[in-house]
Amino acid sequence: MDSLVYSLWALLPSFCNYPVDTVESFADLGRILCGVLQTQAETHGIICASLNILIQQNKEVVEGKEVPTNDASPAMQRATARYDSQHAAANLKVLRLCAPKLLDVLSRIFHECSKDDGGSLQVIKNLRWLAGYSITLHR
Amino acid sequence: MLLLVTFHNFLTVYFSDIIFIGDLQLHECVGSALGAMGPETFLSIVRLNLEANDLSEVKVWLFPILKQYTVGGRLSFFTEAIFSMVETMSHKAQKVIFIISRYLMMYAFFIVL
Repeated sequence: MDSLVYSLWALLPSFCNYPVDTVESFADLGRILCGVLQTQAETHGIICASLNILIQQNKEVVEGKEVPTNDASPAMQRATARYDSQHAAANLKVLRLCAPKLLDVLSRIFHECSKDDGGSLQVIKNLRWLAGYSITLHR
Repeated sequence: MLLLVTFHNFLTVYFSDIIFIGDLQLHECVGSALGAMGPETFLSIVRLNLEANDLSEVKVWLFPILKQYTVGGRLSFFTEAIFSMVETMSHKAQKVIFIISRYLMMYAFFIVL
């Protein structure tokens, strides 16, 4: 039963793979993830990986890095085609709104846990970058 | 639509058997279908069967395919559908633990007697 719950959670990084509704739905997801991070320790790794994917993919599009689509599946090509720099910038703006809260929860967890359960340091780094993103944007 | 129904029948007939889990080509085939339809339509046709009382009826073989081939889905689908599945399953798991612990306590009580 617990492994089924874990398998369901393990789908989160895939859903964070070029999602279509980050602007509309991330606020809700962010709120849920903050709650889950505090109560369910076994999901830390998955949530960190998911946030990393979300931030990283949008960041790459905004910075103009080419996403290699030559040998990608049609679904992947369709999903990445939707991500232009404007779309990604709007996504990052919404992500940034939730960043302080997530950063707060994650750094507390990071300080409490003795071991880094995969990617939490990376996600803290990404969230810090995101928090400072507005400064670089308005300059 | 007819094609979808035929596809559904094909899946239910062939995938009810666990023998096909290791079949890589079939894995890819279902993966492409998932990619073409998107996770929401796919899961409405091929159900995970999480509500089944018998855990062996849950289509666990779908998880690796969903994990590998989901791209461009909706985050709101995760928060609405998948997260509610997580909550139902956690609730079920707690219930099972509660029942087991109660039986263990009764058993311990009789041993003491």
